[in-house]
Amino acid sequence: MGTPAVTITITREVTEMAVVRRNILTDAVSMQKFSEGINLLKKDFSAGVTTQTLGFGGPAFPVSAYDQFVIWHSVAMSVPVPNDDGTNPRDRNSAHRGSIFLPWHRFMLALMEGHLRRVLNDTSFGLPYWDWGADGDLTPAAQPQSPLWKDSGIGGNGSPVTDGPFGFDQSNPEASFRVFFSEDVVSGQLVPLFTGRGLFRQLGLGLVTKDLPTTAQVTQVIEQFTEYDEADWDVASRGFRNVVEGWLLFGPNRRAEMHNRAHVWIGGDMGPSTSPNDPVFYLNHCNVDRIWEGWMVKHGRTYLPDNTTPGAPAGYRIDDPITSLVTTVTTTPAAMLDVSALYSYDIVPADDGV
Amino acid sequence: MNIDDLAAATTPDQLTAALRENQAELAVLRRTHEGPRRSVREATYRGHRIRVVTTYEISIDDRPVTGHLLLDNDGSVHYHAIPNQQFPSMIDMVERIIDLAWDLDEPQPDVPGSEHGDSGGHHHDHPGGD
Repeated sequence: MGTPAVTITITREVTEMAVVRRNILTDAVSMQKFSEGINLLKKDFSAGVTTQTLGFGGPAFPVSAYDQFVIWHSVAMSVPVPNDDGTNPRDRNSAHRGSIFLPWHRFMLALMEGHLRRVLNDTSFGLPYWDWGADGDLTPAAQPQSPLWKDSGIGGNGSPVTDGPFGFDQSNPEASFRVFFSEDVVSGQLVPLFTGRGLFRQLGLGLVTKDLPTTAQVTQVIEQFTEYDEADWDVASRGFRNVVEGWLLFGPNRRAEMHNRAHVWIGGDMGPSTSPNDPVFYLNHCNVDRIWEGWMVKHGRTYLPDNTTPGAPAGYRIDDPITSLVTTVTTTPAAMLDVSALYSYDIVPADDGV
Repeated sequence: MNIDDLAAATTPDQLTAALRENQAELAVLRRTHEGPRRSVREATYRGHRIRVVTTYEISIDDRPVTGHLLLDNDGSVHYHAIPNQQFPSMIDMVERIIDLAWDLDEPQPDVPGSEHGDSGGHHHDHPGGD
């Protein structure tokens, strides 16, 4: 007789490790996984949400998990953040045009990243970023020729875009990446497009915005602006948030515009409040988030307004809740300052070890 | 929040639960904009309260432009439907609307149950049918 077998079972709670977010142009795996994940989420109807759930009239059509993020972003822009006396002279909203801009989008991107991990079944996936400053260092004519906009990247220009992983194939629309909710910029209303359409982009074709921000501008913003934000916590504020959001112009030609400039330079579906229709939205905002991380490495994990700042609008203070239309879990600006348990960046800008 | 918390927050069930909890916010999707656009500017100068109410009637090829707009005190224009830009003038704003309006040269979108039109004659494929 042999020795009786002894089975020892060790159980422990497994906590997944934080992921690393990488440059989509230098990490082929990030490029491939991002494209694959977005297309999977675009076809993920497992939540059972329909146009009727959202309150649209007519027959009920399924709404994908991806498109629920588009709707959340658009709705958030319609929620005003007024002063105590009800005035809102510069049109602050619950996600933009004010202090909340960076933590709100950090939360949105983390939730998108979580859903991408879910549909990819890959716990190591980290949302990649598009370092538009590096492309901005090229000549204006060369910028739309960046590898990002190639067939092997995320596709290029067009109405609709016809190449890359999000291209529209006229002969096979049902298999194509399609836009189903779009803001009609004439009426200002979000419109469901039941048949869908291809993605629109107009890279560098705007009359004014023909080039992207540069690496030097990114470095200058991080070094020059030592305060996160200032009163009136809106588009007229001086501070890092407002310059990286893109309202406070700076530099010799006063045309940096940072995040806003990337939106406007891409054009098409990146123009209206439904800009998350274009997957490049997430690459742009991941870069903005990386720049914010670089700023915090240099200046500390601080945020304004705090809970006692006189005149600070409810909804923007450091412990005010940030809600969403994609999860019941809420967060706060304070909770978004240190996200090292969720992710880190391969490189943060202007990180000189100070 | 750590990775496990995030995984729990990003389930299909959470997508539906969030919409149930926030039905009030979704009401903006059904809001219609009609009539001329109105902007109110207020300022205080040497103790005197200034109030400027401006009304605009804007159209493109006779189609009314009805999105929410706002004039800043420096005279620049913010148009809600084009959220990442501030325009030096109304004409600049309308030119950009034309740049971005996906349907100006096409039939109105097919929106069952809305004032934009009925579903007659259009093929309704199924977004989830891929």
